[in-house]
Amino acid sequence: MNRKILLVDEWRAVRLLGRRVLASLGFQTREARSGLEALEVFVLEPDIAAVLLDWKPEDEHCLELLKRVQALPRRARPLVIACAESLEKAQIVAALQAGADEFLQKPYGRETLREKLKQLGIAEFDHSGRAEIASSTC
Amino acid sequence: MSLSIRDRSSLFLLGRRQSASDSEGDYILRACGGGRHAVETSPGLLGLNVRSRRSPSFPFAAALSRAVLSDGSAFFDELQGLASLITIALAALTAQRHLGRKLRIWSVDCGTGQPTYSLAIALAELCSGLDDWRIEIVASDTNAAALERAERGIYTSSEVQRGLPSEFLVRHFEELPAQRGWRFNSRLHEPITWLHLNGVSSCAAVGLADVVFCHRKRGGASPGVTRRWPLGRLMAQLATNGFLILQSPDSAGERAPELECVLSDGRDLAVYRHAREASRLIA
Repeated sequence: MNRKILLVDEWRAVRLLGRRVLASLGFQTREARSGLEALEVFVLEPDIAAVLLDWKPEDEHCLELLKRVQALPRRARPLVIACAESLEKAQIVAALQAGADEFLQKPYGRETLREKLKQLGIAEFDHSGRAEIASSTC
Repeated sequence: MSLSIRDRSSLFLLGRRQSASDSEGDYILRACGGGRHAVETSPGLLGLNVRSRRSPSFPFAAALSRAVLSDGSAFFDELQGLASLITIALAALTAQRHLGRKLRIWSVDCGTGQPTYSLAIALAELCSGLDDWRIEIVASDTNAAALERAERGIYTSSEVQRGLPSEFLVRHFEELPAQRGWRFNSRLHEPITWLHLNGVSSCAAVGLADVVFCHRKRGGASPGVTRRWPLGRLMAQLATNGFLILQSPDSAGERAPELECVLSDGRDLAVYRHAREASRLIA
């Protein structure tokens, strides 16, 4: 059962927030500061269930990461949640068109992230809110 | 048991052991709302006294509390109920009502609207065969303030992120200017009728409904207190051959003898129809 999530963000505070929220939900995390670093982590650890990706359409590595994820077989493909500081329609559409599965505004609270992970089928949660069942796509 | 503020949020990040730099603190402050929205919860409610060093007057705790507290409603929180509506109730009713091509759905306990809008979106997204049907939704709640919010159909960024797929968000909601939130695009849907019911008197104002969908009651109630709907009142508005979907069967009172259970999933969901109709179909 894989509960590993890759956090990609240049801000240490955001990664710290994500790490703590995800730990409280029962997930392990890996971290990367950029799309480029994320690509390296991704090569080393291909068993990542999901990526919380700082959405930067101008970052070629960010787009490259999405392309590589898209190219993977469906069962091995991690789900990608593009994250940005604001929730704007144009940004959401661009991220989804680039291959992201979902969009999330930063900073995300525990409940919001839990709902998103549940919605994507990455995990179901027990009554305490901790992940208990990882989906077969993970 | 309800979750604590700490559990529901990321507030623990700001504990004593964390010493976020100014830029990080500003980032969190800005991202937590930055005063963009009206503050609905007073800081005192949380017992917090957190202030930004740079903006001492900024009600940081209030913004945080608003960011992390809601009535707990999420979109598409009742997937089982929606699946039952489509695969059981609508499947049967569309066969029976194909001449008139009209259906009425009563969305009971709609709260601040998320369950009702989820229902409308599900019909639009998943029931393309009903495009030429007139499906009227009547939504009701006993809480007038919640109902008023539901009717406005405006939600904050954090609210639309709870359970609502981003794809549906961009398709069914309009982004309001100046980051004032997102408004359900009612032009794309059949109009929804909103009704305030006081929970005691008759529900006759609803009229007859082909489906009575009783949503899970969220927020507002004291722990352990479940308001019970007398099934007789719901049944009185149920059209012949109609279906009753109870997302929290425990919240319904005495079971009416004319109800036949079609589906029951322990304590989370029950689907009923008139016993007379059920026996006719079995026969």
